[in-house]
Amino acid sequence: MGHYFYILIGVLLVHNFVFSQFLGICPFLGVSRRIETSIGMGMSVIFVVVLSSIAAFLINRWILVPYHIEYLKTVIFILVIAALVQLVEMIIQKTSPVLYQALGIYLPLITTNCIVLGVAVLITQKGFTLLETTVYSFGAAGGFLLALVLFSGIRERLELSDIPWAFRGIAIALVTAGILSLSFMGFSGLVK
Amino acid sequence: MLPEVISLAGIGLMASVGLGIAAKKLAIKEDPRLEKILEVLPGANCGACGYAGCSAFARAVLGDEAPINGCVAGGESTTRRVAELLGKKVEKTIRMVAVVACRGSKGYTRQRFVYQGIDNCRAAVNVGGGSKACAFGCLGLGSCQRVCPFGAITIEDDLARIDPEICVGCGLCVEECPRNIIHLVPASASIHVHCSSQDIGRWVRDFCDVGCIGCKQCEKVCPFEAVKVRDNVAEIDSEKCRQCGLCLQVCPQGTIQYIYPVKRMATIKENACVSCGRCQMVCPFEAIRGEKKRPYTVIEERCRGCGLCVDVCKVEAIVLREVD
Amino acid sequence: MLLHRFPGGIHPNDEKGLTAHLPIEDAPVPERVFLPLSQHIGAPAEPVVKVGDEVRIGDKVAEARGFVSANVHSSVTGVVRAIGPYPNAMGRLSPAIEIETTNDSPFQPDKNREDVLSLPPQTLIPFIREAGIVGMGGATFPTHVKLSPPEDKPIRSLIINGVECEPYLTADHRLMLEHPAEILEGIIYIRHILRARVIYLAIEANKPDAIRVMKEMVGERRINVVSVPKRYPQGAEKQLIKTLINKKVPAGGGLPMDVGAVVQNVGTSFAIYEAIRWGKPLIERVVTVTGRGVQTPKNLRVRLGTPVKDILELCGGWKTTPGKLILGGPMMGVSQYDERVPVTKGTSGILLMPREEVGEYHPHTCVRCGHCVTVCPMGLLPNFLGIFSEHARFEDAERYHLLDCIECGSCTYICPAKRPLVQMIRYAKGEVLRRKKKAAKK
Repeated sequence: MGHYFYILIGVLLVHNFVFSQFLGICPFLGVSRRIETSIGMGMSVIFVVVLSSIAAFLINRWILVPYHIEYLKTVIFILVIAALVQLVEMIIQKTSPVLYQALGIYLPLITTNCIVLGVAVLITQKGFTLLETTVYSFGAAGGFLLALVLFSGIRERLELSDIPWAFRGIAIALVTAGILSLSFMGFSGLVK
Repeated sequence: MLPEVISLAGIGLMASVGLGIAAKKLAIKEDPRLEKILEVLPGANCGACGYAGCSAFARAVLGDEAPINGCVAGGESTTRRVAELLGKKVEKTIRMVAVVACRGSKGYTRQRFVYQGIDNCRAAVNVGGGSKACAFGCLGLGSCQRVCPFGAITIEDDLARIDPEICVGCGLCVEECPRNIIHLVPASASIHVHCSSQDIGRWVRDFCDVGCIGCKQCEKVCPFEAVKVRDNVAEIDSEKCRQCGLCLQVCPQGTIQYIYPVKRMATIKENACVSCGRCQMVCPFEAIRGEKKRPYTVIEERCRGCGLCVDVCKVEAIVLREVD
Repeated sequence: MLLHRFPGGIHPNDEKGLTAHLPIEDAPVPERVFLPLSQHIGAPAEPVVKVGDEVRIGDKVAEARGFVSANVHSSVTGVVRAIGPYPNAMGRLSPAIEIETTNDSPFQPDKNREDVLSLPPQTLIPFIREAGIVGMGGATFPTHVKLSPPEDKPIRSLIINGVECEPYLTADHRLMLEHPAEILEGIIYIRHILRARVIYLAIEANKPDAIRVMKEMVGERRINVVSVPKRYPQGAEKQLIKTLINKKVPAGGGLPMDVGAVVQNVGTSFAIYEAIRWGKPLIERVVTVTGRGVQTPKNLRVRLGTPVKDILELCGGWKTTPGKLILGGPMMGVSQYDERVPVTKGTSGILLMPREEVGEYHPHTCVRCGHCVTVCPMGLLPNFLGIFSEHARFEDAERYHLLDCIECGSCTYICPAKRPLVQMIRYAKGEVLRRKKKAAKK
């Protein structure tokens, strides 16, 4: 039990994919203006990441390794991820057109989100079991959701502030993201 | 070779089949024209059409709820393109522009008291009725400027000024002005009375050097009965006005001004003129001279480009052209 | 008794020393009075006289329109000269009745009302309504409406407000010192009308002489004369209720009757006494003329409708370079630029501030110090309300309880960035109501 807890905390806080590994920055900056859209994006990414990691694990275990075609993993994983993202797009368009409009171009861009492919590749490299894969992928995407929600909360406040002309827009957002990363450094050492 | 091909093809096939089924199950009908209409609209989400934004208007137009010429900001060109996309006929729309009916900038007006507070006309008007001596004048704190999505309004010397070239007539400033002195007029109506003060002339002179004092000189001189003084302030009926500028000349206060320079001149085509003399009879400025059997000519110094002669000429021998 | 602290509050210098020791003088009868048709909250009254009519002092000149409205009476004997637009305290023109005085005889009281308390309570309310009495603390809410709560809202606590927390003003203070018996009589009438169980007479601790006098006058009767701590805005209705009976009036439009309480100003109690006992309508009130800008500060009993100009002359005019002329107090009063404005039912003071005392401030961005949050007596977040107002985020402002602001001015007073918070909040309130009206029309 503790073992899985450490995996979760490790990837959620200590090695947060956004703040420590600097992956998934594009949707992180693009979607984090409103808390509602951030939560929607984060949930979608969790869905895609968990499913694609499990699929990646299975494909790796039963197809790639036995037939010695590990070198194809990038291509095959992308295939699976793209299909899953398409599915998510259709689901969201049906269930919440508002969210669909709000996410806009960033929804299909989940395909190119480094976190998704990153997690899929990482779990094959680290040799996790199926359960470990699930926990790890859930924590990774959960870390992304956490980063998004924290950042959008700050950005909503930034909108109400009187920011110097030179810093307005993306500049102050990047500075803030940097400071947030710094603060997440405080978690290093929590888990080895 | 074989495992690669099979695995790739196999996974690809599974994905396609899966997505195909999902696409059918999760299909929603979206009119493909929606996207095209959205591209054609200005995208400013100004709300002048009365809908919550460009996409709401696009949906309404598709659903036959909104008129095709509903996009005020986009104007004629947008209306034409939307109509094309829908395969419908378009009615002619008149382009409107907003005009501030006040000329009382800092140098011309007096203040009742020193106003200390937020830079917002709506708020300032509640403090003692506004610091300007004239209870009808522009406060110049910029509420209209801030609400204009097209940047057509500037504030100079405590007065709001609208650039008629940039203004699209969306009407947001008209609603925002707490004194209700911004009006929408047809873009062709280039001459206006820049005053809204209903005070009597004596008071107006106290408060402002360029306010309308209700002297009625403009009303008396207008050959087209387009200017009337009502409630101590002159008003120009844009349907009757022909921008001849006589009222501007006689106004002692300089309240009547052009919002953009326009000078037109009539010219009689020599070979088309049949010397009937109708134009000479109708010209209020005696700017046409001529005699029977010779083509009539326009006396350029007197002509004011009102276009009455153009209207009465039965052989369409007269044209109005713009001059600098 | 145990008192409860309301949140926030500030401690401005109360400046009462300028006039607290000055007994009330009767101002001479003015040559002309200008009686606005709206001196109260609610629908403006409608004139029942026309130009040229002769009126006697105390005659009704305008009739209340509807339930939430008040009558207007002539404060002099004279001739109606005009009915038309006249400058009002908000800086605009509003309809008023101009009466030229022809006779300065005083009001003749009705001597046939001895046994008032034997009458059933409901018959007393028409006397109050007829006399045109409104809240004299400055709110000017029609009193007969306040004293007619619906059946399902029984009144347990009657609170008489002698706090006068606004700096500079001493009208209520002098009234309590000089007319304690009349005030007590008025309180007893109100208790009779409301059938309240507990009565408090709250006086701020900076008026020990008034506390002593009222305590003596009350004697053994079951009226609690309470000394409340000196803090602005202790005299505000909701704050006073919290302090005395520890009840919170519900946010979002709640009224004191929702917690079984009614608050009345001592001046209103005095007026109620005069109306019920002597049939005298509301035609005059005590006004404090004060400030370091006036030659001779005074506490004056002034006929309603007297132009401020006349009163300034009476007090010797400006002693210094004029800075601000404020009707009311420095916290919630309104600055004037026209001396023709008349004294009305809610004018508790005329404050003349010399030029040196008036600060000129350039507001900065909110520095997020939180002082305003600390001092807000309603527990709101004025910093956010101001920021939302600036960014035109009116729905957000409404969610942050914009409409519960009592506009006391504590936040503006304390703000180190000199932001005009009350003005921003007022502007936002205006916009919220305007948008609601527009939406309702659609």
